[in-house]
Amino acid sequence: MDLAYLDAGSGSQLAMAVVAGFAGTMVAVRMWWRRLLGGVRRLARRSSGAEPAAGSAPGSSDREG
Amino acid sequence: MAGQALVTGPEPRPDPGSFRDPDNQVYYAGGEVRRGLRGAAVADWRALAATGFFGRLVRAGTICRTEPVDPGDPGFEVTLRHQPIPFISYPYEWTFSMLRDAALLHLEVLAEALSEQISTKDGSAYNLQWRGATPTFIDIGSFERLREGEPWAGYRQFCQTLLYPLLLTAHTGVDFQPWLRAQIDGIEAGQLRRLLRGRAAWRAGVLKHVRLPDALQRRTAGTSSRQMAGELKSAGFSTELIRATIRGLQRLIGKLEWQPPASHWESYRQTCGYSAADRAAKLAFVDRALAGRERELVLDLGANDGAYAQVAARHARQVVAVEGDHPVTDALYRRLRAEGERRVLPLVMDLADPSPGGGWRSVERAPFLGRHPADAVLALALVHHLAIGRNVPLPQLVDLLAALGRELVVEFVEPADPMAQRLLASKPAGLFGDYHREAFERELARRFMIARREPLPSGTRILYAAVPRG
Repeated sequence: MDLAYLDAGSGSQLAMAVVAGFAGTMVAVRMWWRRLLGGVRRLARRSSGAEPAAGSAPGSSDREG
Repeated sequence: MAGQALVTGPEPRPDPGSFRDPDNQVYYAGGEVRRGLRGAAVADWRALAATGFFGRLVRAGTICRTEPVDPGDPGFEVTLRHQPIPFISYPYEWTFSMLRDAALLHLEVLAEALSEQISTKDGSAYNLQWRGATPTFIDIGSFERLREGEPWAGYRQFCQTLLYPLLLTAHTGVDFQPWLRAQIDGIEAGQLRRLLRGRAAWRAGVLKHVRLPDALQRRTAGTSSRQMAGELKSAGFSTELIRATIRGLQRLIGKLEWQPPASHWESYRQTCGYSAADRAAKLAFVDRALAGRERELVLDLGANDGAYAQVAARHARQVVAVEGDHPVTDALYRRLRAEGERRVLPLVMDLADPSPGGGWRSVERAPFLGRHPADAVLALALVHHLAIGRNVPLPQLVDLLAALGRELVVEFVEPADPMAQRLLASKPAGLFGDYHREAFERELARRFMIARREPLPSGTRILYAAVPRG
């Protein structure tokens, strides 16, 4: 992926939750846990043939700059 | 938001640094600094103007005085008028303590804003300017209505332009100014992580605000900020977490200290051995040269401990005290700040390498030379440093002094002076044959009329008060 297309602010937003203390860290953990669960569910759906093949998701084929 | 000198003229002239937000543009018209608003910026302004904190902080001088103009200018739904800043300066011209106080002021403004459902779109050091030694928040266009549950969008910019430069200098002793001058967006987390190695990696704030964001950034770079904000919101992010971050940053920044090595002060004392009689005569000469009327702006070039700048401040609304020695300028700032001085602005800058233009098309940040023409320029114990120490020919030096302001108070140090001798000792013999009083006076007379000339009691230094020809 071209570095120019990466969003440099997303990591800071996540970091901001963590540096806020325990409550913020819990928010970050919850967010990661949801991501993990979401990934597992997608994999499960794909293996059962309910989701389109990888590569056809919006934004995944941006090669034109 | 330029000072008085740049806002004159009837025609609207856009601020070269105000182009990123089409709904929120700063320009100069009718001798005023104005801001035109459209679209969402109008609703944000109305929400801001209805709060209690805004009026309170404006009255305290914490936020730049701003009022609507009626009727407004064509092309905008709302036109605002800002109180001009006497002299625009940039973070790479501020000292460590100035940057620290600017950072704390930004956090104070944000904390007050959050209490009334307002946030700021960014967290840039460029949101702040100075009236003398007092910082003020100028970017009214940065305020927006709070979106509950989303992280503060300015955290990364705050780190890059305020926190990281402070950490760099506090934890390594390396000056932050060259970094900010070279990179308009400030120091990146990844850069600072590489600079803060060994013991410095474990100093206050580094793990939380440098290493953690850098590590997370590398893992989440494919996620957009908008998507991340949405995910955090649905995971329970709240404004209280922004407040907790602000409190943590305030504690961290309030504790950051920078002490130059003791050897610096020893070397400084050796180069500032003026006699009490010379110093008293110079103070009286400066006072007499500027007495009689109040000027808008005086530049004190090579301001040292600021004594002459403070004399000039009796006769000027704003004195910009420019000094190349960072610890000396920082000590001056701390003294002025403790005194509540609003007329003297200390800046750290090497006059042989003054700030260039920067940013987009090199005009987003104005170069120091020509930024604001001054009514008067003080150049005391400066000419020999530039002419001998930096090999600047006298004609060019006098041309620079003439370009910076109208009246001039200048000191010439003769080659026989002990300080001039020290400078000459490190230079090849015969290089400065034209460095003598007659040559200097000839050059001075080319651009100025010498109104007064006074040798100092030491016998090797002469003061001149001069006014421009024509």
